[in-house]
Amino acid sequence: MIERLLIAAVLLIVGFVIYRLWIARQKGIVNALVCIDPLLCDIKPGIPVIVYFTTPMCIPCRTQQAPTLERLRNEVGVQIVKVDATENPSAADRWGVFSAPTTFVIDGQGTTRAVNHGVADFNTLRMQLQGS
Amino acid sequence: MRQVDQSGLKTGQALTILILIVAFILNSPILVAFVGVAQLLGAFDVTFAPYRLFYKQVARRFGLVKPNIIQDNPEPHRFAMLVGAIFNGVGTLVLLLNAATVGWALVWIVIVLANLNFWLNFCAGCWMYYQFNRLGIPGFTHAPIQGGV
Repeated sequence: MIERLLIAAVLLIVGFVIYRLWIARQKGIVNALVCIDPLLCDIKPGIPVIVYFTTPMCIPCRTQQAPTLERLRNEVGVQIVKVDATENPSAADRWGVFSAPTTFVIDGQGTTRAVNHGVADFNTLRMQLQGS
Repeated sequence: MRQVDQSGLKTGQALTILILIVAFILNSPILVAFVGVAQLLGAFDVTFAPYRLFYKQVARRFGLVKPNIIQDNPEPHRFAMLVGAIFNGVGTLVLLLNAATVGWALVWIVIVLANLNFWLNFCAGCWMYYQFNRLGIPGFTHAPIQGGV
């Protein structure tokens, strides 16, 4: 039983490490894109931005993520760049997005602070923004 | 309006992950079979499905989770549970036939997919359902709910 416990622990740890490495890689990709990506052409410099990937068939995007981002825009003043991944699949490829919603939190200096896969709530995003 | 309680789905996914990991550690095909049956009953939306009972009688009653009801089609989620039930059912049979590697590989596929759904909201079974709907396969009648993004 100890062997199986160790195997399960190792598999779970490996899964977690792969996920963290993947996030780190995604942050690196986005950091390289920030200055040149067409999605970010119109953003105001010096103000944090959240790049939000969604799809028409993503229900939590519509019912949970979008209202949260709207509230953040109103209360915190963050810029929101919304991308429909089905209309703009090349952007989803460039940013390494495979599920919706996915949000990228980028600070005013253009550094990616966090990547959230799945719905990110108001407090999480605000803390990620304050961390920036 | 078509609605789904996301908290109920998340509770089921969490239970699936936990019980299957315990099943692997204890080398117990019976626990795998239990998860398969629980998923099958959930897929057919019966009132005495174990995950549903746990959610209503334990998780909600003791305030462990709050309902999170959103507009969504329940059918893709039930199909996802059916896919999980098939994997666990076949896994159980294979384990009982002493093909441990194949059997536990099937179980770990379910664990990985349940984790993707729980942590990243990527429901592979729902994705399959909507692809079948786009292809016009009979039985997959519900298209994604349209609206703004």
